[in-house]
Amino acid sequence: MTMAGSLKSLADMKNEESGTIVEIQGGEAVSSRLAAIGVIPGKKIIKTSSVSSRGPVTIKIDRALLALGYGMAGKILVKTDGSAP
Amino acid sequence: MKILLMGNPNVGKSVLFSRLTGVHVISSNYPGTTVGFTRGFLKIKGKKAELVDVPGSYTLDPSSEAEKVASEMVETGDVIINVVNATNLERNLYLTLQLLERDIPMVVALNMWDDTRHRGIEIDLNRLEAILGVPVIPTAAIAGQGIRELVDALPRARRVATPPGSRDERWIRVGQIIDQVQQISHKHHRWFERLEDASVKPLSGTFIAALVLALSFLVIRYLGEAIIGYGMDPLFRNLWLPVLDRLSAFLGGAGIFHDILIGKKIDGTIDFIQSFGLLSSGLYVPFAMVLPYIISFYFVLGILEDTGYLPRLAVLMDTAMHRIGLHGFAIIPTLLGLGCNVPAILATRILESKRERFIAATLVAIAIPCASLQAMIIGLVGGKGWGYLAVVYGTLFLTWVLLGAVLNRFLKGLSPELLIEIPPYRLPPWHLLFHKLRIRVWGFLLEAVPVVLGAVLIVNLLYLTDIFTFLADLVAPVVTGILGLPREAVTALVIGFLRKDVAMGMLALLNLSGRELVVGSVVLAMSFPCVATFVVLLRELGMSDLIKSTLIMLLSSVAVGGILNAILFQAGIK
Repeated sequence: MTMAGSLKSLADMKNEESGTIVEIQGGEAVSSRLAAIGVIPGKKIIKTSSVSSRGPVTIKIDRALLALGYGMAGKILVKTDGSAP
Repeated sequence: MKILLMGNPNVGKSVLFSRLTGVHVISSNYPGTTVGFTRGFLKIKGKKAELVDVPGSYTLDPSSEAEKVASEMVETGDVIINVVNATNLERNLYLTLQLLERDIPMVVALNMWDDTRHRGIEIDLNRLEAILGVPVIPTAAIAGQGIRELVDALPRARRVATPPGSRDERWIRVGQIIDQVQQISHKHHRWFERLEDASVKPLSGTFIAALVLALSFLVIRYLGEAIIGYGMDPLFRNLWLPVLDRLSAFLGGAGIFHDILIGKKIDGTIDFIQSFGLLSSGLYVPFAMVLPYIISFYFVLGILEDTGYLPRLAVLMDTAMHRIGLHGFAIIPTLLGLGCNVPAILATRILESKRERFIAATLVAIAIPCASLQAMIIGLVGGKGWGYLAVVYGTLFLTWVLLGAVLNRFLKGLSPELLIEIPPYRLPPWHLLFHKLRIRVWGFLLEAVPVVLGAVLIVNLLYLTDIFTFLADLVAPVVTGILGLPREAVTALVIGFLRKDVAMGMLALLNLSGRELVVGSVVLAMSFPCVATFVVLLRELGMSDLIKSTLIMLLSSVAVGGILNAILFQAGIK
């Protein structure tokens, strides 16, 4: 049995959790900065770590490792894959 | 003909540039090493063409200083070599599509080609070439493969009239291309990759960072000491001293010329630190005291840069750095500043906002002592005892933190958030590492040695006049009253504007107590940047911010020096 994925922000995801980016909130300034570096809706990501409770988050995307600030991570909405049994 | 090397950050443009032109530029394994642009020349079928190493950017819509430079440069090129990271095609093709829209003849260099196989990546070159409509040449710049083929392909550079698309349209197109040309077979985690993960996780990351920094410090120290102890110092004492002794005897042992060339004899002998002549201290300070640490510092920095560790340190430091108004990436200019403040202030261009750049540059100029100054501080203050040395470094570090917090509190605006790509770890390519070390050491010798000699000459000439006495009278209340230094220290602080290492050497002439030497070193480090740093600050910050920055420097150095003096005095430290 697989648990259905849920919708949450990248900041709220657990380490090692994977999912697909659904939406980037917070206006054009944020989304264009993120898009430039390849963070766009539709991309699959894995959250690899978070440095401290409000510290930067690292993700794997297209086999690259990215680090982004906590606030920015909060604006990235992800549909998680859910956990396999 | 003008050829532009363009591509995402950290795809190897600078290495390729060196390969194509033979011009040596600094390259490292982190995004944003190149902030300005470098020109060189190469020959294509006997004709000379100009090649420009453009700072890396993800898009042509400028969001940082480096990207602004890149997007303005595009229009000036006759041909573009778009350097693409073959191990991460999907993240690089966006810029490729944007460049194709500019309607300038282009060739794609598919770099890091040698890395694709063990990563389980297969790319159909012919297919990619057919889709893009321009020549695609696989290259491995570090190993020097594919360079000839790339040059041969330049005359075949083609323009493809692609209609401009929107952001979403381009990304969809990238996806379509990837589906057609790239196949990935999953490879197991190498231990390297596990290490990559561990170094950005909070617990293991902090442990690794502490280990790396401690190891770096030890290597810098012992390598520097070894070069002095087994190389430069014996060389000066056994070979150069006899020459100077003869010259001294020839000049009659005293007089104006003797004092300028050889300096004053201390207890009847030539002292390489205290005599202060052009041929004694003027050569001993740069070659035997500073150069060894320049070599050891840049050797270690080169390893840190080329392995790809620095961006990881930036991620770990991010939360802490936000308290001083900077994000984690500012740790890179700060570390560069421990070598020389000039490239450090240039490197602040990788920071996004003007506010951040002002804070970073001001903090570097005030609280980060360059390697030349540090070499002298270690040599002279260290001689009084390691405790004194710890006070100097502790004070500078505390100033860096507190001043950063104050600036962050009172300057308007927020610091932007961290957003960086972390490169994979790589074993440093040794030939590039030593190459880079040679560029930096030569840079030091060519720029620093003439200024050191000039400064020593000026000091000697000014001692013959009354200017120093006049200056000393002018600022004596501050220097003696607040800082507790003898009035002669004023001259050293003034000379610090030319070279901090020479100024530190002058403090050594004054037979200062441990406390005076500690306060003097701290004030010298903080008070005023050397003239080279000053010029770069002016260029990077502009006049009004430079004035602001300078006022902060003067105020904070007097305040910190005064407080430090009072505390040490109260503690009964002489």
